[in-house]
Amino acid sequence: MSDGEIRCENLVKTYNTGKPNEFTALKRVNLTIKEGDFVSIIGSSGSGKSTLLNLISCLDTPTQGEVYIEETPLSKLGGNERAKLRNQKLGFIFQQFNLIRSMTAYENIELTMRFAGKSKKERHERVQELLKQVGLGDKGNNRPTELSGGEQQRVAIARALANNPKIILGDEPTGNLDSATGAIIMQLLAELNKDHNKTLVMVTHDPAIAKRAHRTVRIKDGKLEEDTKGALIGNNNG
Amino acid sequence: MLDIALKNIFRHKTRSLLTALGISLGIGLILALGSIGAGLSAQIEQQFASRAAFIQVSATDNAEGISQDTIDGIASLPGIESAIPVASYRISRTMRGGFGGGGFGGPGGMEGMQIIGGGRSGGGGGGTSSITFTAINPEDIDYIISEEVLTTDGRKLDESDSGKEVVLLGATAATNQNLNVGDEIEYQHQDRNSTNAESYYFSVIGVLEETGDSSIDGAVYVPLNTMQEIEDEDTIESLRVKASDVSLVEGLTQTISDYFDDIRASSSITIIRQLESSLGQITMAVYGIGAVSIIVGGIGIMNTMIMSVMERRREIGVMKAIGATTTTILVQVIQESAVMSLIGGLAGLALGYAAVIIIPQMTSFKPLLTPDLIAIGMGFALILGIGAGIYPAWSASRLDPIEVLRYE
Repeated sequence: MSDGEIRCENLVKTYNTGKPNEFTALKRVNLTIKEGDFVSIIGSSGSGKSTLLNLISCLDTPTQGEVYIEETPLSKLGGNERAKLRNQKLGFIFQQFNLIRSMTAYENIELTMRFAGKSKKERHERVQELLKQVGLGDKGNNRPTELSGGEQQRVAIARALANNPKIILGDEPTGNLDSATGAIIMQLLAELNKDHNKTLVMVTHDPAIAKRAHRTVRIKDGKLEEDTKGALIGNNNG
Repeated sequence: MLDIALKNIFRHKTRSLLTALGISLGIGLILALGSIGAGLSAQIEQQFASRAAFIQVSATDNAEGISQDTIDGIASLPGIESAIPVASYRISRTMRGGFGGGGFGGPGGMEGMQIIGGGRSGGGGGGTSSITFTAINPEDIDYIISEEVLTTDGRKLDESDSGKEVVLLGATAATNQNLNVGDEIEYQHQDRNSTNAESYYFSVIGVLEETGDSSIDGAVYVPLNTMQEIEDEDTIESLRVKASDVSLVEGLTQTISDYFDDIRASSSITIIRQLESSLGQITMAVYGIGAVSIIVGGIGIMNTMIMSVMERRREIGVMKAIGATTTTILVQVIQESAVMSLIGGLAGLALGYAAVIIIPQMTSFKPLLTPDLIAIGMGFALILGIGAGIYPAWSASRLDPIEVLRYE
């Protein structure tokens, strides 16, 4: 089974190819993340970690190499297939939460399922279940502005889980939260990994996340420098 | 996804309202102007449809009149249903203060120019108004007006009235002249050789019901031979010729003009054609004005949608990141634009409808809001909304989620 597996082969990403400001953000990166793994990607600003996450997220295309999500080579997919893959196989959690402000918590969670064409009944049941799971059972009708940062991030997590993807990708998910709230959010994410066998990939500066991760990958100057459990946390210069 | 479009519209109520207002004014204008055009068309049709089969034959200015031989000749032409002699005599009449008033007789004017000068003048004290007698053979009355037109009071002319001093009034003529059955109208015959005038008193024997055709409603019918005796004439000023079919009218008009001397023939067909053609041109100009105002409204929508998309760049980026396809974004933005335009269109329909209600209360003119016009108006609004949404939708669908999520 390859559910929840991510494989990057010889990833190269060059910006401004052929121009004087040509810049290679990733240099032949190989990385395999197994189903149910919890990987944190660390590195300083401009190291290429966001570029790597964008490639895995199917939002960007590599200059060379290939990303496989559950054995599907992303370069073979058209625009709509990529959208479908992001919608159904990946869940996203952002530093800024990125909830839609005009929609209630309920509607934000529901939106992913609407893109997937799920029925209203199915959406309703799933949203109720998710609100409970993230501890917001009574806040479905609140808009993002009526929720605290931690609550907003819970809604975002529920949204990421709506279509039941195996892979959850996070970009600094605790970056905008105080440490106590961040710890609660991390606890929630860790449970998803442990209890629901979700593959977690988190780009982070936060040592607390890196500490919880099974593996920590450090990117420096576009290269995967080390890939060992625990060894890098102290070195984190982000 | 329509609910999302609606939600986005209601997010900026004032802005959306103003945008929709721009559209509603354009659509309202088109509907109001279009209704006026349709009303005019209907009015022309009503006014002229009953006359389309008629050919007006009159003596040329230097001729004495139309002789009985000519009348018989015209009546015997193939395709002629009837040739009815008609003459008109204009008099002035003083309102109220008795029946005095300076009379003036003699053939003059054209049939169909009945009450001149708008009837009543002033409020209280008896001004003068002019009346045109339409002199016909009493037995022809049902050819001139239809058999179906009845009297509201008294009776129509009949053969027994020949040579008598009696009048039959159209509804408007009776109202304007304030005349009822039994009243009298003084007609003064001016002798050519002396300054003396001889008065004749015509009594009202009937008032016709209102027909909507001003040539009947405004008419004052008198027996032709009565007038001929008074004025000592034996020729006829004009003939009202009816063709058996409207399609023959133009040919017959030409034939009559060519074959008979000292007369001219004309028909309303040419006038109807001219009016219809002018009306068509006016309608086009009116639609042009409406189209410009609608385009201005459309630019307003596009502007609003571009702003709306700019403000929601991040949101659109998030939607794309979590799996919205390009089509989803396109459809959502175009829906928003179309719904806003349709709201404007419906408001415009209300405005147009209001105009159709108000105009007849301020004027005697009745505009017609036809289902066609409503369909055109709503269609315009929809097409405009979709059209104005295409560019903003396209630019929204091309947003790169990486860019907007990183920098916005």
